[in-house]
Amino acid sequence: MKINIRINQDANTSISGEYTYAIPDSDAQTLMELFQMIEQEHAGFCESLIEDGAVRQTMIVLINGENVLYLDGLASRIREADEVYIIPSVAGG
Amino acid sequence: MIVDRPESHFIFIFPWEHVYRNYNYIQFQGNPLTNSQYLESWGKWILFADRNEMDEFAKTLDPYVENKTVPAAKYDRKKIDEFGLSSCVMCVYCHKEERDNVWQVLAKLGAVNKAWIYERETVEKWRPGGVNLETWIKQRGMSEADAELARYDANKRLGRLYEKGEEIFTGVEQ
Repeated sequence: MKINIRINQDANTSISGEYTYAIPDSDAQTLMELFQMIEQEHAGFCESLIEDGAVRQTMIVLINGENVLYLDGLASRIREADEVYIIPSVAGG
Repeated sequence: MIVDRPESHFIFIFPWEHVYRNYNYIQFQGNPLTNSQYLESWGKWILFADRNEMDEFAKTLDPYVENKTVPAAKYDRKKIDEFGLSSCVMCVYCHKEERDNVWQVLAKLGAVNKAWIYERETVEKWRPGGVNLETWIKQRGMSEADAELARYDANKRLGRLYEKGEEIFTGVEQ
């Protein structure tokens, strides 16, 4: 399945821009597994985004517009054609 | 209507009736929200763009605010230096039950990236100890006395939302 991920340039992750990842079809794929896949190509990505096993307070990760805090955090499941979007948490004050 | 007051950091898009007739756009199905309901149910779609793009987007969004399909919106007059953002941010407000309809409008006008944020998230980030307030204090290089004053002020403005949850929400000074 293909997952589209967009990372706002101000999100302070190690990379920004738009990426599409093809990952094996499975019901068990999670956001964390996607991030680990990105980490293999872009070392440091996970550290820039994750702290103490959760998304850093300074970032917001959304799946199809919904903050993953209201889903299952990094264990949130991702499905075909999902849109993952990462933005700085300071936005929207 | 677009409300552009130079003394405000934000440029607002409000219904004409809100500006001139005290119409309360923070409501759901005709009922105003309590502070608790505001924190739980009110939120916004977040859009990023430069100021010129925001101005143009605001013009196309304004008729939808005027006909109340979209409750209200605001956007940055300029980038916020304290947060190092390279673009302006627009918040398009609505009740969570209406967010899909509002997104359809935004998408029709060209919005692509979906980011929904509840007001509770924002309020908590601006309370003492919250990541936004503490970042703002740090980036401004405030003295500890000024920082404490900022925290006191934030708590005074936002604490009521939690302490008086049953009261009708009457806004937060911006």
